Amino acid sequence: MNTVLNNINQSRYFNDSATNTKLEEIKKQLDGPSDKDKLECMKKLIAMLSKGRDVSEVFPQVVKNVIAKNFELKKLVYMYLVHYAEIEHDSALLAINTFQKSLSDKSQVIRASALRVMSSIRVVDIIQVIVLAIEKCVKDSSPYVRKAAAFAITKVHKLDSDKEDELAQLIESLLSDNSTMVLGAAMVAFNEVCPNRYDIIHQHYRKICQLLADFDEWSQVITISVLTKYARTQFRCPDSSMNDKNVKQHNKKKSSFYSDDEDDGETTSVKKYDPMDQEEIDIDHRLLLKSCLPLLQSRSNAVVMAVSSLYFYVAPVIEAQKVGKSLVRILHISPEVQYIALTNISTMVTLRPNMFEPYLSDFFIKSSDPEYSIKLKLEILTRLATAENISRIMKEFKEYVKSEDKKFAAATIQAIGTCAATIPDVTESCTHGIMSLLSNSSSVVVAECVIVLKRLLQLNVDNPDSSIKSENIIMHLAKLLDNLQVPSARAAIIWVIGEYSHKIPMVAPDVLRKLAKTFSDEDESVKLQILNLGAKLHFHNPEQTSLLFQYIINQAKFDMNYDVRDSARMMRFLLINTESTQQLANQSKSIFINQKPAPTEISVSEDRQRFVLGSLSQIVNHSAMGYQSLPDFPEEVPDPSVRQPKQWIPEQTSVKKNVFSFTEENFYSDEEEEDEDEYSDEYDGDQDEDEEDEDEEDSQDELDKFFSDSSEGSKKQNGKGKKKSKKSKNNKRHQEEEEEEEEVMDDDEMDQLFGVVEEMDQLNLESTSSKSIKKILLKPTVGGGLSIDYCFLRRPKEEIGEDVEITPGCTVIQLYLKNHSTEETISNIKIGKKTLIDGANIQDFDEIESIPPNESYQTNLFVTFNSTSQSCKFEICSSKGVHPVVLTPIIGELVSPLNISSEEWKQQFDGLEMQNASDQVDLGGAVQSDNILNLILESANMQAISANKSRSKFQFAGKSTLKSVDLFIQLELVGSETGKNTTPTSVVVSVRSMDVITATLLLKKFTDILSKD
Amino acid sequence: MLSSLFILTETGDIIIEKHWRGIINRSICEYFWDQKLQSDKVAPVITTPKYYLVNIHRPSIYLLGVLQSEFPPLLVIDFLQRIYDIFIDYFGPTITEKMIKDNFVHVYQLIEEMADNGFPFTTEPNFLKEMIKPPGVLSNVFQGVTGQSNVTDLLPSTTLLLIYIYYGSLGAIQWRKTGIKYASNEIFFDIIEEIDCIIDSNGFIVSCEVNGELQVNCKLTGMPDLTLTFNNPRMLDDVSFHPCVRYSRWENDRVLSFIPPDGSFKLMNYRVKGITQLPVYVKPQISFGEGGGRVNVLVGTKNVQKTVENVIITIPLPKSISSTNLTCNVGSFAIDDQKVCKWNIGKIPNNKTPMLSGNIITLAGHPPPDSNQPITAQFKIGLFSISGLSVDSLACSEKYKPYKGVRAITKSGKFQVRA
Repeated sequence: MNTVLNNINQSRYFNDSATNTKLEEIKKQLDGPSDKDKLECMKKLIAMLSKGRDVSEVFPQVVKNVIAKNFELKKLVYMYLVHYAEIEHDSALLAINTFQKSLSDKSQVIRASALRVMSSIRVVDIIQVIVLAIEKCVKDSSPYVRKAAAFAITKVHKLDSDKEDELAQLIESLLSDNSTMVLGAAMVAFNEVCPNRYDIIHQHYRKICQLLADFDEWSQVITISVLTKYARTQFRCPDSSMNDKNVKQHNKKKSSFYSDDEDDGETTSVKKYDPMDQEEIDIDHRLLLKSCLPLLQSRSNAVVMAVSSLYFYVAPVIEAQKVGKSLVRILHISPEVQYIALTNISTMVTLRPNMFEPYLSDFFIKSSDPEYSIKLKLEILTRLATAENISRIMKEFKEYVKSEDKKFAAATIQAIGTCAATIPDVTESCTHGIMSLLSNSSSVVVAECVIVLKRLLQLNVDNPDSSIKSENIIMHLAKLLDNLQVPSARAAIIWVIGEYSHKIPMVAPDVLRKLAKTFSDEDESVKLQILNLGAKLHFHNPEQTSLLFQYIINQAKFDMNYDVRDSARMMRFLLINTESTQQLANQSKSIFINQKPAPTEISVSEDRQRFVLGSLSQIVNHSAMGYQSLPDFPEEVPDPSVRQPKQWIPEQTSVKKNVFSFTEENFYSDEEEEDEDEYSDEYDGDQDEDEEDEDEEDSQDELDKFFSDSSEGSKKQNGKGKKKSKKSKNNKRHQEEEEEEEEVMDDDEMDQLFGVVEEMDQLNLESTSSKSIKKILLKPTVGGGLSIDYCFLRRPKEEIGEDVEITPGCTVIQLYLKNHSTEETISNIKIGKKTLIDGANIQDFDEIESIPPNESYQTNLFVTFNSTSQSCKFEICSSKGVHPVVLTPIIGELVSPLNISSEEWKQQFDGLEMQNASDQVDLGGAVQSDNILNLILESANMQAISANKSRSKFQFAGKSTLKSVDLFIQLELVGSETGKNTTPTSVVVSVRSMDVITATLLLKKFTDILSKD
Repeated sequence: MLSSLFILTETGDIIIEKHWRGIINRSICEYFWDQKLQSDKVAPVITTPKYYLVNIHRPSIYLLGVLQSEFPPLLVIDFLQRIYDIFIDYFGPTITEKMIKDNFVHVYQLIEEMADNGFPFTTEPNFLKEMIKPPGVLSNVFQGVTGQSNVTDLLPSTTLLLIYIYYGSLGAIQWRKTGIKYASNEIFFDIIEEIDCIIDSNGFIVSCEVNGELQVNCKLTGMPDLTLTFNNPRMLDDVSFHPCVRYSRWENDRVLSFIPPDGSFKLMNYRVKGITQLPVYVKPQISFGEGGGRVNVLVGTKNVQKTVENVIITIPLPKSISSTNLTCNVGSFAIDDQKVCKWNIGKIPNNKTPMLSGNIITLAGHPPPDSNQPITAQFKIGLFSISGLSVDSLACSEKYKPYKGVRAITKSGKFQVRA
């Protein structure tokens, strides 16, 4: 019972009696058989450790316990091990084998923690072992373990930076992951290991942008900062191509178009710029901005900061305004957050004051603000001051000057001075304000006023337009000398009198007379200024002052301070005993009396501009270790096509083609490809490139066209588009045969498709396309002349004959092999080594003996993915060598059509209400319901079931290939409907199925497709 | 990435230390403590010859992160805050030195899991709780008897992580596990609003804003997909959400659509500007002449029908006062060493206006102060939201009809009146 009660209170481990337990005893118990005793010991050890006691001597005993079955014990041993591994590294190596064994444990948590601990042992000898372990874990089936692997990469890098290339490769493979958990960690590793290897980002750039919102907040911060740098190296400066005038014109033109949502406030301004931006900014650049914007609403302050920084550096100036509000919001979170946010805002304000103008009152100082925030707020207020708001700011400043905290008051006076210097309209009132403070009871305040006035005088005294009456001020200051004690202020006044003695010729000698009397009691800095004053007056008014000057110099000769003595000696020989220094003495006037430039004040915030916003270096104002500065936008924009994805959502490009039917690409691109060989002989040159290639460049052109077209006015789009497509058709003979299918679906066809007669009418229709879009498996440049394209067969039975047996869960993929070389025959093509996840299978195709030059060959591949996201990796062997290729499952092709009646559909759909996955997608406006339908059928192998009369509701059904579970999909168009001309504004997509994974993936896919307008 | 983490007590004792990148001697904390002794409010980022110290101060403890190289400082602050929040989640609403010592094994296990190599690793409370069971007297007794551990290796593998794998690339529902069951399904919303304002001596508002949060306590079965609508969402100036909220729905329809985490969590933070009617007024009249002065402070409610409670008015008096003959008609007051008068009114009565008045005598030879220091007010109004924000309806995707409760409370934030 005792132990039971003891266990309730863990603090007993902290008691002296516990921590003084003899280590010998602990050693004995750790070697003993009882897990419970061991646990006790480990707790004691950890407690001692956190009290700062060195308990490394029991290391060998602890290491033995890494094999413990008890997970809590194991964790504690891990903790201890990591703490001391560096010192006791020989013993630490004893544990390595156990870790390696744990890497194959069935529990993912054990696998992950084994890797985490193993990689935390900072011993260089075992680096290779760790790297091997990471390689294993990168391929683990659990994202949790893969995430741990990504973190382990950074640890290895810290230990041995020579491994960079090897590690970069691992990171690259992690970047092709589709789990946000892993992707985020991979980006963190990227930033740590190889922050400049943008080449491995390109391919994943779009995916990262699109999934960014689902990353955890920590990796979001890192990812955004990596992408900021990426954007600065890869995109054009968003503001360079258009000047302000342009912006305004665009605004006018577009505002009428969107006039209906004018009342929307904030959001309209966003929308208004969109069409314009799209023609100015690269789509990938736009994608980045668009994906980051929602993150301004993140609960994480660091994310808000990162997005702000991104917008500041990468977005057009006009859009960067949006971040102001969010930054102001986080000011209220905690004093610590406020400090960082203010520091960053103060720097932003020096460059773009208008970003924060609307939030002026948020920077007003409260008495509870900590000192570090006060300074920053004052600076921000100063920067925000304009002729319009200065009266408000001055009113505040006057309150602050009253503060009991005199440092604060002094800082405020400086701020007033800065306002006076920068805004000519208020110079006079500010000066008067400061003058009135000269009677303040606090000497600190008065001193500060004098110093500020001095600066103002310097700036304005020779400016004839200046509103400052310098004589009055100087007189006023001279009077102050009688009472003011603060040395720095006295020195400043004396300097002012000397410098501008010509303005008060009657008073200056008298001041010198008074000072000569008090000289010996003055502070050193004041003495030096008195000497200067004497020297200057010596030139202007020698009759009255020479004797005084000599008197002062004589006093200075015996001063305690050597600076004063030196200065006096120099003056004597330059101005009084000039026999031996004739030549110098002739120049003496220009030594003492010359134009002195007004001081320019560089504030810390301005200095901080050197560093990237949000960085540590920016806060501490020096370059911290590992700091990387932000590159400028490039003069020449690097090739944007590098970001065309090869694997991930390649359908994205096809989406574009289909949504905007006016583009020249055919609707069913695969039909076209089948004829490839036939017509490629007849057409060469441009045609070849433009029409038939599934090349990346082609689709890029496509996108460009789309954007330039859309900007011309979306109303015209449709008609114009159709015309275009018809025109292009005339150019292409080969298309004639398929003309019917290629024609953009018009209303009649729609009616055919869905047979619209009654409210919900049934229809029997095959899914429109028999194959998916063709993709590249192997490029000829990589494959030594051999290229392989592939597409998923949607109705395998029809294509390859009924007699072929297809195992359930198996997908048939058609391969198009082509020999691109002109003389060499490629022979013995077959599948080599396969790297597959559990349950996946690829059935080899029969070895292809040879393909002569310029010939093509077709074959089928039977693949069982057994996963909706894990790709199959295998090798293609040929006479040209071995080429690794990757086949990624596409969710839309892991579904087969399911033909059921409309009633049955409804019944099933309603029955699955609990398994509903739905989402609403906004449409751009140009999208027609016809297109949506096509898009869905194009992207997934589904059966269209029925549609309602107004064609705002569509129903589909399918069966998932992997699990053979039925899927039911409904699309509901929401928006204004006028008869047949539906102009939907958004679509509600609902997917219901017992197979939750496939359903959610499909939903995601549909929403992706539909939102990409 | 963080090199090390230290947790210090108010007196500067190190109670927890954790190193990710080699052991850094604990003497590094002395740099922090030196600064702390110099001024009470230490800058959140301190530079030392070799390291940077990022610290946050929370009641009774300091959390100190040590950085060696470039790393976003705000991320560190957020992370330290998260550690603190998790402690609260595990050990109770007030964290004390004793509490950390009592649970130090838990603390170490948590820190171990929350960061890897000095970068945040697992930080979602629901996820963490699956891996490391929160302490409780019962579970401790249970462990004492059975010898079972509070760390599990089974965790998400069966429940949570499954979702993680499936949704990992999608909606990432990392904050809720499957198979949650409640006998009675309830969900409570707390609207908590704080008023930050500066009022000038004439009673005009210089700046005013309301920072609110929507705190939710969710006890619902299954995977409910909730849609919350407000009566007047347009007045929210700026908002930030828990990751579970679907941003697009908010942008389009101004509704909150989300699958809630289990238990208590903060759904949303928001800001409202343009508040022109304050529920409480404070009218100070403080004047000084040679040798003393007169103080008269009136406090009252306006524009509000609800009772205003816990009212405390803080009036800083000049340092040079020698004696006072202040009196008040409601509550009590005390003047401390710093010559700050704390007037505890409690509940503002309906029938009379609280007033504090009297004369002050200053020490001879001290000039009258130039100005008066701002007065601060604290108060609390139950069942009232100053912004007027209210929940209109809550739709739930599950078959049951949950019991819904909405409460509102308005508190003073930094409520400052210039005298």
